[in-house]
This record gives sequence, C-alpha cells and structure tokens, in this order.
Amino acid sequence: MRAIIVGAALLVCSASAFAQTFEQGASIRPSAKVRYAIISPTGAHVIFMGSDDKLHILSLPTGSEVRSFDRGPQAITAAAYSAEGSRLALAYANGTVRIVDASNGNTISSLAPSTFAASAMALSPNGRFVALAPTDMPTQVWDVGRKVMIAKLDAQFSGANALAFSPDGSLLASADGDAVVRLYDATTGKLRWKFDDLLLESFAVAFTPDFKTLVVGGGDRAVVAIDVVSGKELRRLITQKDPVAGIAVLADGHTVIASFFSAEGMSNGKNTVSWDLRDGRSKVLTSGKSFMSAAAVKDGRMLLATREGDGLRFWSVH
Amino acid sequence: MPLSRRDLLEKAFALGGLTVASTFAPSMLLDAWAQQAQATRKPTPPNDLGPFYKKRAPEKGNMRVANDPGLPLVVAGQLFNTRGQALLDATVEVWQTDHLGKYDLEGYRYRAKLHPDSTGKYSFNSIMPGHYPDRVCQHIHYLVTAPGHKPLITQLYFATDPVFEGDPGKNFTRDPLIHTPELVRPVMLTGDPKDVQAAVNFELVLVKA
Repeated sequence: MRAIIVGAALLVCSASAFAQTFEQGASIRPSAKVRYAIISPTGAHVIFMGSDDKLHILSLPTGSEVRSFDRGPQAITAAAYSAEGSRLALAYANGTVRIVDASNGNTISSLAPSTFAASAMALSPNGRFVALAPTDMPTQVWDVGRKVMIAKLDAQFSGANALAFSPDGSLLASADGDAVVRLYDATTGKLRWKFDDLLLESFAVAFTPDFKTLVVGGGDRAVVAIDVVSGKELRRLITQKDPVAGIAVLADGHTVIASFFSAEGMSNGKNTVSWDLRDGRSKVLTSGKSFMSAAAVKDGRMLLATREGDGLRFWSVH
Repeated sequence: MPLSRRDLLEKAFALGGLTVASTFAPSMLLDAWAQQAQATRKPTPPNDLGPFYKKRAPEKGNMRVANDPGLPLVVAGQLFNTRGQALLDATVEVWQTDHLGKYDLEGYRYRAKLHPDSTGKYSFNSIMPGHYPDRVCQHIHYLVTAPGHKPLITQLYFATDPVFEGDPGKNFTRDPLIHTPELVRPVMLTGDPKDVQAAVNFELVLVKA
C-alpha cells in the first residue's frame, strides 16, 4: 500500500534565538511498521527497515514508495549511507556486510569481516571504504572495491558505539565503549589522539563540515565539542538529564542538533536540542522526541526523522 | 496462568537452578564449589559490554548500604587462567541497576572496582538487580582485566529470574543477548524467611593475550 502523507503544513517552533527555523513537516505511515530509518544525504529519499523484513525507499517529501527489496537472510544490525547518497552499507547479524546501490538495492560488493554483528558502521564519503565495529571487538576499515581490510583500530577494550568519517574521508572518529573517543587516520589506522575526559561511553559522534570540530555525546548526558587538531575540549553542553542518542551538525558549521533518550530504556526518546557552538546557547526543539536519523542536505537544511506511531515524522532545521 | 513466586522457586530448585541451604553459611558452600573446580578451565563466555559502563568506580566490595530495598545478594568467585592458575593481579569492574532496573548515571550506586585476594578470590555485596526496561533478564555487567590476558567483558544472569520460568537451560534464549546458559548461574538462598539472602558463585576464566 502506498504511503500516506499527513499534516504537511509547516509549524514554526523556534526561530529568533538562533536565527534558525525549526519546522514540522510530513508524517508518513507506510504499510509496514518502521523499525528504523535513514534519510539519504541528498534529502531526496528515506530508506526504512519494515516489520515485513523489507527495506523500503520512499521519496521525500511525498512519502511515495520508490521501491522495496528484501533485507537479506539475516537481521540488519547497522546501516549507513555514503556521503553522496548513492551507496548504502548494510551490516548483518552474522557479521557480513553488503554494499548496495541505494536506488535499487542491487549488491555492489559483499564482505565478511567478522562473524560478530556490527554495533556501528560508517561509509567513507566516496563509498570506497567502510568502517565497522563488530560488537566489543576492534573496529576494522575495509576497502570495498578490493575487499581487503586496510586497518584495524586499537582500543583498550570493547568496540565502538558510533563511527564517523570526516567529510574528506581522511579521518575516522570512534566513540568507544570504554568511554574514550578516538581519532584515527582513516586509511592507516594510526591513532591521532584520544579524548578521555568522559566517565561514561558515548553513543554519537559527528564532524562539523569543515572538520575542525568533532562533536560527541552519550551517557555523560553532555554534548562535547573537541578540537580535531589538538584533541582538546572546546565547549561542553550540559542542560539535559538524559543520555545523548544522536548528534548532527548543520551545514552552517556551528549549529549542533542533539537528541536524547531515557536512561531507563534506550528506545524511549527524550528531547531534541539545538546548540550553537559559537556562544553555547541551546534550545529544546522537541520535547520527548529524539530523532532516528538526520541529514544535512545541500540547500543548508537539516532533515530529521522522528518516530510517530508505527511511522515517521519529518522535521526541518534551517 | 502466571506462576507465583513460590512456584518459581520450587521449580528452580527442582531443576537445579536454586539451592536452599539453611544450615550452611554461604562462604562454606562457595569454598566447597571452588574445591571441586577442575585443573584446566574453559574460558568464561563473553557478553555485550553496554550500556552505561562508567570509569573510576569506587574500590569497595560493599555496594549495598543499610535499608537498601531489594533482595540482598552476595556474589563471589575466583579468577583463573585457562590452565587453572589463579589470577592474583586482576581487576574486576561490576555495574548493575538498582532493584527497579535503573542505572545510576550521576553517581556510582551499584558500581564497584574489585581486586581479588592472594588466592584470586573476589566477592561483593549488592542487591538482586531489577529488570532494565530495554533488556529481558536481570544481569550484572563485568569487565575483567589482568596483565598478559585479554580483557573479559561479560554478564552474570540468575537462574531464579522469572523470565526463565525455573528452566534457564531451556529458556535462556528468551533474552536475545544470552548466547549460552553458562552465564546463568544458580542462586542459593540462605537465612530465615524474614531475612533471606541470595548468594551466587561466578568463576571467571581469562584467556592469554
């Protein structure tokens, strides 16, 4: 059944404090219950895993289904778009990874880096490299075309909760389960620095577009901006009483969007907050709604998807 | 029909998941278990780390304070390598929820860093953890490190957990994160009915790096 669009009218929730507009957009209720979703980096599509074990590609903002395809034989544990949106990496419970054409689901490459399910994954901007973290094991970087592992990243113990390539693909940031954030050369695995001034593990990591700043957050309930060159803390936002679930940075380079979840259950979403890195001001954008996916699209907007019933609600920040 | 607490305890006892020992002190029985241990040992199965590991936990064996709600719990065991040699210079970090299933993120309630004694034995006092809403079973997280050995990240589960309905060997897969019943340990209840205490033995075997 075709997706239904409800409530496409825009609602301005916050504007003056940050010279930004936060708008509520379309609601989509597809035929299958949404388990999780990713907005494409172009903002033209959203792909979601449905309760029917299929991946569905929908056009935005209409929500019409472009195509659906079988997820594969195993449950998907992590998924990531390449920066230009043409490729999608899918990590499976048996440790294998498929790189697929995001427009039709056709397999471009298959890898078998581990027998352990990945807890985090990232595709490099050009889609050439994939970084994945088998649960509680060292993160690996693979050359997708040559199907070889090019780097294995050292950590004291445990694996990574979140991974992010820098916009130029040269750096890889890792939010590790041992409550340390590490920055590596993406293709050699050489450790640049580690940020150890957190007590609990981080669950989210993102670069600013100029990749001068890395933004992380997690169990400490703080969002922390770190200088990419020095590894030193620049600023810390502590206004929420809940752990950080997700982080995204607007194309303007100084607006951070952070979502929070309840410590009493990671599936229980809390607030989404906007934070200006220049002056440290913050604003709650939505109460009780953490975003499932975020994408900074080329026109400068940040698209967010939150869960709404069995479907999705989209939001725009610009 | 849901099973009563008494039904569950009786079923757990019948299936070996629960031992009631009103005339023996927990330490006597734990010592007896240790003496039965084999010379060579199978590595303790790993289990997921997260969430909410917290660095710099206090070095204390008593996580329970007076009048803490919940069933008092003593966990004890010994650390070995796979050749059966006791590990003396290991560090054991444990963390768990309170009796309602909530982790303490602000402080260090029910978090501890332990150092085994000269025979590799460790123990701590706590309460039976509640059910964390995003998980199926009650559990205690472990991070064990020792020089020359691979870090062990695992979790301890309890045979008396109502989820298992008295048969953890059959029902352990009800929690998708439990891959082996080896991590589900028998629970021994001691004391009179007005002052019951639970005791669990959890041996830890590390693999050389």
